[in-house]
Amino acid sequence: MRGAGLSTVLKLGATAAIGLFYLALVFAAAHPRVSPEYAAHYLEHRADCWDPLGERGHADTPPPPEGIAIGRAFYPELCRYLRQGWARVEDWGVRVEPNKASLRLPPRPGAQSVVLTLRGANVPGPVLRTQFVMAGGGTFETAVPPGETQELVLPLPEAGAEFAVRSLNYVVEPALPPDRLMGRVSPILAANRPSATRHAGIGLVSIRYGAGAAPAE
Amino acid sequence: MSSRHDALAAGPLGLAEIAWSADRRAGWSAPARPILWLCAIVAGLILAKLAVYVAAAQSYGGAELGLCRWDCEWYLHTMTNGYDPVPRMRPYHNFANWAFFPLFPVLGQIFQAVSGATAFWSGTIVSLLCFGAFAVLSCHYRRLTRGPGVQNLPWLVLLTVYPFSLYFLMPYSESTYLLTTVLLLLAVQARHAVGAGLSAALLSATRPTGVLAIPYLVVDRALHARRTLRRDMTWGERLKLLADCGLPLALAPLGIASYMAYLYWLTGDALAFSHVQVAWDRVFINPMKTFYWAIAKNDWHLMLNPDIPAPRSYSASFAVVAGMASLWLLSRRHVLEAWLLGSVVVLALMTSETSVPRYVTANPIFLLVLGDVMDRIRKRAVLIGLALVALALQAFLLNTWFIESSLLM
Repeated sequence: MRGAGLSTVLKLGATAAIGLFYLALVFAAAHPRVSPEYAAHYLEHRADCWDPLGERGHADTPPPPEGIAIGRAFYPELCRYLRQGWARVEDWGVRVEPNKASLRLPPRPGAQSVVLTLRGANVPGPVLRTQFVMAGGGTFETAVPPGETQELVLPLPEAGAEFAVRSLNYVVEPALPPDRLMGRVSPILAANRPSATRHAGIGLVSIRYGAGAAPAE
Repeated sequence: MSSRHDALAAGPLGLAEIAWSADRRAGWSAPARPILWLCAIVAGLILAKLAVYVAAAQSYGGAELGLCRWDCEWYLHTMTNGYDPVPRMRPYHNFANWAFFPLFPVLGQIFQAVSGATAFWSGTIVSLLCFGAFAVLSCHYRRLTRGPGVQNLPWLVLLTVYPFSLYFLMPYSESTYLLTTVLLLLAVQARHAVGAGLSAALLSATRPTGVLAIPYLVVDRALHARRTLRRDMTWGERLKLLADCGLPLALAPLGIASYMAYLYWLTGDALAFSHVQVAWDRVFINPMKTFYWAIAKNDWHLMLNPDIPAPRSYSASFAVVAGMASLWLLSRRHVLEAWLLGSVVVLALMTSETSVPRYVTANPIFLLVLGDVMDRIRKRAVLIGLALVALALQAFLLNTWFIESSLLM
């Protein structure tokens, strides 16, 4: 009888201890200790990529370069700018996907404006009309004919800015080849892409920081 | 073959026959020699198979380069470097190995530390050991649940010639999953609740799908409590019942919970193993939608093209096979088996149909169903013919493995 009682006490004690561990774990799972960059990508899905430079926080993050040629840059650096809704980078730049996209412009000392070089459609089609809506106010619209490039000057507050990129129209063009992961075609990533064609919005060729103020919208 | 001399003169096949018939007569309560024969046969079959694979891999850069495909590289990376403190890898530098549960990599690391072997061979040997243990234990489990008429040797041959059995020899978690599942099945069969809890803990440390054993254990313990509870029980008896029901349920999630605690310490996110799935474009959706969209794609004509992903219809069709197998198991009152097979496929369809073929074909429950079908084939000529077809299919799949076709991803 005493043996059975001791066994029961030990079992109940172990169960209670493990239960407390689980309660602590549930609390920890509900309150992750992660950076805003991690949360934006992995938890809230507000960014399609993870920016390791953003992990360090503003004080330690190096300022962006004066000019960024999108087609010659790579991730993770590009994640500082191309937050969500951008297609895979090509050798000339990147196209926005017609669903709502976002572009982030980190601050650069002395810069009050940013010049975006934008590219029209690769195939014959409509003039691509796009709005860049700045968080906190200000909408800037552009219309780029197919096969041409144009520059758009955006204001840059001292703390940087984030823009929602709204494609008012788009073109249908051949899809890019599937993504490659670990040197091979990634079946999962490829299966989630349209097979033959894609819907493509405006193209972003480069970002250039300027010292002068931007014109009014 | 009544004498030792006759037995030795019969050669390997004769010895196998002796082991087979001795096992049929003796059962597991007999002296250990039949079990040793069983282990010897299992070891022989596995080593022969490994030798063939290694020989075939020589044309593809050797064993390590040729045989390590897809998730194998993730497991070897984990065994060598541990879990990623930060994400990495192109194209978007957001991949990390948090989605690969720890039991298999930890076993591989331990073997590597003890033996000094490379990560690939450590992982391969751990897989082989787990597969061998599964083969032996599954013979016992089949005897307990399918009756004394089941035959071990055909079952072991099935495991060897089974076309998708190449997963069990690679540094993958499949073999560990086989072993932990059969341990759970044996514990439940023996009504050993604490053993079932511990087995479920190991299972949940092997794969995320391991947690699916927990609902079954909850229902099992609840029914046990309902059957046992009486109005005239003393407080001591009630506490004992609470302990007998509570401890197994407390143990069952311990595997995944320990891993979550580790991830919280490493990354600050206890659910990192789930959140990192976004890097593979996997988000949770209705499994019926996944199934419907994949079947409706009707892309069977892409089956043999190694340059593109596996047809979605091909992948989703395995869910149909698993569903039918689950229903068949339910009809035979193998409730836990039906649950483990069916629920795994439903969980897989919640993200993507891509790996459903592997989750089904490498599932120990599916193997048991194949064994049940095999047990009903009486004619040895038919069995031999099927074995030859299976071997040919295995050779084909081994080739698709070498050329990295996503049929086996």
